[in-house]
Amino acid sequence: MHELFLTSHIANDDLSRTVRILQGYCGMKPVSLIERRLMWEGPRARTNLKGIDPGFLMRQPPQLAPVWRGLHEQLVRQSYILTLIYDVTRDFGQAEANGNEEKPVLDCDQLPGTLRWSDLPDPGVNRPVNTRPIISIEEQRGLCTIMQSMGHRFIKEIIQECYRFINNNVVFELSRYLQLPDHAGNKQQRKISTHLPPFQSLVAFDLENKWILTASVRVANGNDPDQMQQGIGELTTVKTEFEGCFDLHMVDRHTVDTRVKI
Amino acid sequence: MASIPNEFPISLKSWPSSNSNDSTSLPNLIQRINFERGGFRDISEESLHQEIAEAEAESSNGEEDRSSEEEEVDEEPDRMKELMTARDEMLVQLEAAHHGAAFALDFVSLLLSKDTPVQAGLSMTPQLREMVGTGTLGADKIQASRITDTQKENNRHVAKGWKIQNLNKTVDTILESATRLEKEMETETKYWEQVLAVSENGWAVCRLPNEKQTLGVRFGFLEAAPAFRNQSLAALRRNADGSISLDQGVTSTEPQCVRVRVQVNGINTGSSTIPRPVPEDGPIESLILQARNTIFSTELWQELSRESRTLGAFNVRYKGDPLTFPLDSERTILLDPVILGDSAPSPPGPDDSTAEGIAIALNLLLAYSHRQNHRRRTQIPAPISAAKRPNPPYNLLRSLITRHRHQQTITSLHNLLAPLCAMLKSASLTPTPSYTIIHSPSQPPPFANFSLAERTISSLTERLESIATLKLTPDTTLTITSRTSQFPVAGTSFGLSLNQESELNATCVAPPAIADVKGVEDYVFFATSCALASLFISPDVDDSSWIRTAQPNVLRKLFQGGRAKQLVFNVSRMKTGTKGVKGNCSLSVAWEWMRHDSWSVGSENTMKYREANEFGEKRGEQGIYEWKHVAGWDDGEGQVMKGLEGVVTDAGREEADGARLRQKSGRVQAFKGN
Repeated sequence: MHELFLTSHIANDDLSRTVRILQGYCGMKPVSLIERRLMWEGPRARTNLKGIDPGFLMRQPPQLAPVWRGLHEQLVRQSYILTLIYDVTRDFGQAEANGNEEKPVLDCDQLPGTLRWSDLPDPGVNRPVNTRPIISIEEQRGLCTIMQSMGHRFIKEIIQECYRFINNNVVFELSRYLQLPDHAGNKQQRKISTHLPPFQSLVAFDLENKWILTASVRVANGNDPDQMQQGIGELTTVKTEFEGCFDLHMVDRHTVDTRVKI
Repeated sequence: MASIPNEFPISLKSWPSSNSNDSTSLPNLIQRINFERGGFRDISEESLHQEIAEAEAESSNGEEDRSSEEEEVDEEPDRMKELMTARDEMLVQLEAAHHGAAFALDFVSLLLSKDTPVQAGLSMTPQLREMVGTGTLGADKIQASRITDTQKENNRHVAKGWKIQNLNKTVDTILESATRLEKEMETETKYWEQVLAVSENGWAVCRLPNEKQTLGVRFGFLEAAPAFRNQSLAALRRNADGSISLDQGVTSTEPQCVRVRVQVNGINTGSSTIPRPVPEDGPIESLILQARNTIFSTELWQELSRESRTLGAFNVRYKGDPLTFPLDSERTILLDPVILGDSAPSPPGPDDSTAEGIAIALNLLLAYSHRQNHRRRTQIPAPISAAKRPNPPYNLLRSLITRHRHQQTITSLHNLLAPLCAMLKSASLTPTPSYTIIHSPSQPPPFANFSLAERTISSLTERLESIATLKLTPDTTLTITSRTSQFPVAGTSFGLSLNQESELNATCVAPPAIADVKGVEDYVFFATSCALASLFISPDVDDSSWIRTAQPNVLRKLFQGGRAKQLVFNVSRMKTGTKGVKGNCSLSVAWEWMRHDSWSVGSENTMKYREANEFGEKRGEQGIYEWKHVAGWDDGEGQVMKGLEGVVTDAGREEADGARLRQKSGRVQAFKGN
């Protein structure tokens, strides 16, 4: 699967205006999401990457098997940083804020989550949008165990606050990243915490507290020029329609590099 | 200064830019004449005069005609175009004046530069200075002015007159435009007040995409099919008097709605109400509402006809208007689109409420489909692929038909169980058998933000399941689960089950699934007779008690001397002469003497049942007692003479009663009314 996207930055002051504009454009109320994103780093090696355990691949149900196999092929070729995404609610840390003794335990391994792999965007000089291959495996349990078995190392977690809008095939995500207060200073964190601090105590990752607006389209087969052209067409239409309002532009592909540096 | 004419003042004009363009110059004229007339030979002054006169006469006639035509065709001239032309003209003249003034200034400055070079140099353009230099033009008075003081005075008066005249004209114009503006303001205020009222009443007001200066109102539905969604914008135009009018453009259609009629044997027995059309000068709100209803009805009609193609199996027929489908064995539903105010309102009929209900249900189902569209639209879409995204028709009629079938099923279950319980009650059974039918609770909504309205529609259409519980005896409870599904084939299936403790689990196993009500009825009747029989079985085998046989509804009692008595319980549907009366059933208990042997070995319940039935008829019963329930009997019609227990006790006696009953040699009947 390929993802085509354009991004823009929105100042925090313009947030409500942006939400209103997108609400009108898409004809829907924003879907407000808070996602916990766990980053896992692959082994620091160039060769002899083992990828995913073959036994695990064999056990997968037929509809998921090709997706896992696709991921395996990528991970054998190159070591990547993978992301696990878990939906959380805004009041995840309320218990702690209220001084409640019993904190809700968030054991990510027991919760259904999404495994997300995305490649370095294609160089594609002729394309007006960023494109990159992605693999997204949704609603899976026990992902942390799988990651460990794949020799991946947990490095960091981050919270994404997001408003999602959809217009035809284009998905607009207006999001910002927040850090846990304990880890704001540290570069790396070694353990997945089972409790989250109250939402209000999270620290914005970006010092200017800007929001990122991403307009993206997913294409099933990136090698099919017709499908790609349709996706590009929809995104450029959006870009033209928002001209003068949001500056949707391509990003330098190396800013979203997910490969492990060795 | 003799050359200066008296008609002073002379207007200062810019120099013609080039002579070559002058159309009145002699070479040009000669060329034109040669070209148009082929030389000067046939041209004389008179002929030209005549020609001009003719042309004028013609054009004046033509103009009159044309102007009258124009007035008819277009009474309101294009105001915008007129304004633009006037503006252009004004700009041209202003530019010419500016040029003229600049040249005059240059000229005067050059003239003065000889005497006062510093002062004149300030107002002179650098180009002129470079080209001719300062002080190169001189002027001198060569003749005394002929203008006398009187003439000067006159000229001053004329100038003053002109000024006053023009000032008056200006004042008039300004006053006129002020009045016009005031009027415009009034009409504009009136218009905006109405637009605001429309907006405040919840209608979405926006600019028209192709006419940015015009306001429009969105009256249609965002979730409708694209064809209808694109038609759902109408312009709010301002009339000359400031009132507002709705302009639906080329898509404007007559107001219409979908009419539902009920027919019995081709005669109308009911019709849904058709609203009155709003007059064209009616309030804007009503017009918008009517436009909304119309577009909704149009879409409903299109979806109904689209769906009807997939519902041939339900006898839904659509070959041109109207669309028909049978509601039950007698009534047919007819659907067709009608234009409001075109047809006279139909006289009230007995099925008006049914027709109205169906019309409302169809509208609600379409609105529900819109909600589902919205839900689908706001989910993350599947990636773009070569596969086409299907656009299946909405389930409007299908939901209606399955719901109706389900209700019919429930009714037939009531028709089965109510008389059964009434009849058993008349047989003085304790505790009295009873039944309940409950609708299974709706499933938790598939989505988190499922609104109450959606939940209601979903519970009425999506999962149609009812559970009937029939408590026959203290030990035996029969549960009938009827489930009606929409897909893949609309139909009802029944699941039957007995409670775990029941003895019937061993003798009369419930079939797991039955497809029709008749099968259910057969089983329920057989199970009832078995359950009744099981009431009289005693665990110990001795002379004084009934024992079970291979057939669960037949009991046997052994007497001394190898003789035995057999007792058959049978519950069945009773045929009556009255047509259309449903819900009659009867219980018969028959007994007779027999040889004590195993006379019947059957494996199937139905076979046992049939044989047990035949048993009573073939062997010449020695006694039979029946309880009947007939729907429609009045109170007091039919009276219960004996209870079941009494009858069974009597039947179990060895000699005396048997003899007595034999002597009676007939059927003893007990009747029970409603």
